[in-house]
Order: sequence, then C-alpha cells, then structure tokens
Amino acid sequence: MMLAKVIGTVVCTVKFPTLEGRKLLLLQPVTKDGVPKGKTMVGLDAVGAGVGETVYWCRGREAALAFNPEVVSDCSIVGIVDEISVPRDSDPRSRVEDPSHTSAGPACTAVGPTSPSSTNARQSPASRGKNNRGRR
Amino acid sequence: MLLARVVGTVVATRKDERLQGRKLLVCRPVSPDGAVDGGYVVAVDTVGAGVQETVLLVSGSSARMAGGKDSPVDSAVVGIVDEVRTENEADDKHAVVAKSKH
Repeated sequence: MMLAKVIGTVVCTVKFPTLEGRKLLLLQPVTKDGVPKGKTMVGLDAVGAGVGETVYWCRGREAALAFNPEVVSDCSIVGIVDEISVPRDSDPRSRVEDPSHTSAGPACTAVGPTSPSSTNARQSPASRGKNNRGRR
Repeated sequence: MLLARVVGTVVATRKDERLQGRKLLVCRPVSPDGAVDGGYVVAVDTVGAGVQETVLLVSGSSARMAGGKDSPVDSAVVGIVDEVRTENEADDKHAVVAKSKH
C-alpha cells in the first residue's frame, strides 16, 4: 500500500455498473513526511475517508478485492492514517543525507487526531472519517 | 484509476478475436485542472465515451474484467467524469476545476 492525501472528489454519472454508489476520491501520493510526490490519481473509497485526510491505498488486482462484490478498480483506499512513526535509525535515507545524525528516538508525523493507542492506522470503516456515509 | 481525456479513436481490422466489437479510444492522462499529464494510451471503452470527454481510466487486471472476461486488455475506460472538485486550502472554498462538456 502507498500513502496519499485526499485532495478532492470526482463525480461520474455514467460509469461501469459495479462502480454505482461508490465514492471516488482524488488522491495525491505523499511521502512519509506528507510531501506531495507523484501524479494525482482517482481512488475508490472503502473506508469513509474525506477530503484533507491522509490515507493508504492499494493497487492492482487486490484493489478490487477490497469490495464485495468485486468492483473494477486498480486504486482503492483501504485505511485512514492517524499517525506515521519512523524511527530515525530504521530509515537508511536519513543516514545518507546526514551522516552525523544521532539516534534521538522515533520521528513521528501526526497526520490526524492523535489516538491514545499505539496503533498507527485504522483499517475498519472509520467512525471518525469525515464522510462516512453509506452510499450503496 | 487515472483521469484522462479522450483524444481519438483506433480502428483495427486485424486483432485478437476477444476484442471484436470493442470500441478502442486513444486517451491521455490529465491532471485535475485539465492539463495533459502523460503519454497516449489505447483503452477499451465500456461506457460509451466520446472524443474530448474526460474519463476514468483503469489499468491492469481490473481492466481485463471490465473489457470482457479473459480478454487481452490492460486499460479500460470505466467512467465519464462530470466534475472534479478540489478543496482550496488557502481560500477554504471548493473549486470546480474540470467539467466534462456533453
């Protein structure tokens, strides 16, 4: 799965039958620090994500498996990100860019409402998702 | 899926038999504001899209499912875009940035 930020919505009246009632969101892929990287794409929402939220999306054949019955999709949003935690020592890029860096603990990027648990991402349809309306 | 604009059609008399009767469209991926953002792609049409319309392009195995079971298709048009809305954070307004002309 890859990280992305929801930057908008897409409306299609005429579409493939298995996409009827599904929410289409405009995604901008981002790095772990939230920096936009790559071209925008359209994803099928499976968890009730809203504009402005950071999510992770699934590509390929597995994107179609996020729905029952299966849909035609090669990009499906399968989780809403609460927090991204990357310990500095575990990221090889940080050592290449700054050889003098010290192990100062994990680098956390809070991307949404902080959760008291240590879980980094929600996978179930979120009650905190901004637009968690049933659209079937 | 990608946003794309239909820029033309393809006619092929000699082709795989599983593509018989399928409409083939030439598409170019576009950004949300309508600017061209990629190379040309030939896609099977499943929704009756026409030239100059903005469409949704799906690729890979899902395109095979949309184009007809077990057909040699890796790109398919699965939707005609009516509207793309992006949230402008600076103005906190919704901006309609691309509308399909019917």
